[in-house]
Amino acid sequence: MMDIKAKDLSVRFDDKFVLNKLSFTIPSGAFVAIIGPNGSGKSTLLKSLAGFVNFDGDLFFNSQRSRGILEDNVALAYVPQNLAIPVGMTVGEYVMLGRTSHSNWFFGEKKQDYIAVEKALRRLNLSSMSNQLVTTLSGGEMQRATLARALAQEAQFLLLDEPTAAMDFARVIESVKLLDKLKSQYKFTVLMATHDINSLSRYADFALVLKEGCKLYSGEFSGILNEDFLGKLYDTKIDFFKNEAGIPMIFASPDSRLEET
Amino acid sequence: MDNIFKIPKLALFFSLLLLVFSGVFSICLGAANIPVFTTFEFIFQMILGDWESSNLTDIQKTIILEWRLPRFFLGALVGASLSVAGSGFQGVFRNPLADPFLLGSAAGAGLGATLVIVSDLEVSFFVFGSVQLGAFLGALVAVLAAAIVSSSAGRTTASLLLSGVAVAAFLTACQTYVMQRNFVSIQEIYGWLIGRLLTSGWTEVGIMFPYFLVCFAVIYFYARELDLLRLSEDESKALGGHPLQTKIFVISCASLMTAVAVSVSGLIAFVGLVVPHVIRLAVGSSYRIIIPLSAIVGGAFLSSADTFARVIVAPAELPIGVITAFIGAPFFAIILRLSKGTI
Repeated sequence: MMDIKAKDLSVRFDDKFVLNKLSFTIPSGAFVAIIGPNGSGKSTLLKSLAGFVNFDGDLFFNSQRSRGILEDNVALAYVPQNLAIPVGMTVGEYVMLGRTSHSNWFFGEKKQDYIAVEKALRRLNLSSMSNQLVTTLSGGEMQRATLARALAQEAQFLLLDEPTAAMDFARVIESVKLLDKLKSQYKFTVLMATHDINSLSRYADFALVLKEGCKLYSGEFSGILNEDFLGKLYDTKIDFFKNEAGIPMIFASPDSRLEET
Repeated sequence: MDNIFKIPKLALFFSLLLLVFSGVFSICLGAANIPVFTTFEFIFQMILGDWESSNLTDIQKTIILEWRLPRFFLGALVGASLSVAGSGFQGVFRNPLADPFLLGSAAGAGLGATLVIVSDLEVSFFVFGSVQLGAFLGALVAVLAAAIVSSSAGRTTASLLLSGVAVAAFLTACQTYVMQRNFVSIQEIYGWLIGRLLTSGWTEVGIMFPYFLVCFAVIYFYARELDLLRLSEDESKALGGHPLQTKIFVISCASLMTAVAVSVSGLIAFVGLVVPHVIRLAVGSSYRIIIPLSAIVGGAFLSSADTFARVIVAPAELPIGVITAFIGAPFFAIILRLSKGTI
């Protein structure tokens, strides 16, 4: 089991708290949605859990004190918000970068690295594109390439920073569904910073909610699906529906804050 | 999908062929032409240790051994150094336009060396002489200045380039001022800046070779890290990379290579920019391919340019930078036109 437990986790940039004394436990193998308005500290939380930024407070990883997932030599795949798409790199090369810590520094990639890459490409239906340049991929294909890289890396944690922000709504649901499927197959933990509550409501099983650097909620995802809570979170009036299948749909109401502007 | 990140054998073969040809040209052509076939024969006999049975006259032998062969090696080393330094800078700054010249590191090396010459400083550290040390520190300071200025201006391709241009202009101005204030040393400084490819021999090859070897080895060692940096720093860390360490070592070695190259040949623009790009477009974009091939092709390019510089207006010589720009600039423009947005 690879639980993550945080106690009073804080991050300060120039005396300003970006994360303020967060305490929570994330169960291993969960699909975690990190939710909050813009500037609430979602990206910083992902980065501190990964070990990219220094933090105050305690982080426990499998009950062991930790300075971030990376410091414990656990394979971690990270996809930043503004994904850099390297010019001139093929899909095969891109996925092969996932093998960096597995392959030999001096003698390069071995047969098993090629096998792992081919397997990952096959799993994400990218085999036929392995010689194509990543700059020619569509948004959805590029995302599959990042997931293939994570599979090749044999990552146990997948940290995604608003991966669906630039996708059309059909691709969003496709990619979340795919992520959920891969998660059950490969047993990794997904931590995803996102604004897309509707698309995640069927797949995420855990939510961590931030506002202005403070924790508002951590627990079952279904716990955030109510008008009052979300209204308070986003400072707006929320319209809340359920479709025929009982799936909740949430919108910021057009009536809200009308008087103020 | 096979041989990802590996140098294609054909590309390696052609680059080496290019280097051999540039070597032959450099040895055969000049004020006194030496027949190509006899030259080949002589080189073979030399390799086999049989010095006596050559058809060449003693004068021709002297020209080859004492004059053209060291000059070829030195030109090749300078070209290789500038190209590898250019690849390294492009990698750490994640910027296809970074090169020793545009980043101001060549200008920094010039100023550093000038200051040492005018102040008559005599320090040596390890294998560094005082002028090399000054040039190295100047190059390093210039790159760091360009990087710091651009990092607060958004760290885009344009901002790095602009700050590099500003740093280079400032340092060149400083250097001109220092030179004007020190008439006594002006000859020595000019000699240093314009380069000594003309007057150099095996001693300079001997001085330059160890620097090149060590710096090349270090930068090549970090080639995998440079490939990871083509993503982002955080992604690089997540994949097992060490971005900070990579930057420190690659920038230091690229600056040192630039400084030593500048100390031998003067300021030569364009090589560090053009050579890595040609390889990137023609062979592949991985630094594990670009760095070693840059060394070979850069060496071939500069030594050929040097041969042209000697031959075109013989018995006079053109500055080698004129030739590199004259061939390099249009060639680069054509490549840029053909690349269709892949740079």
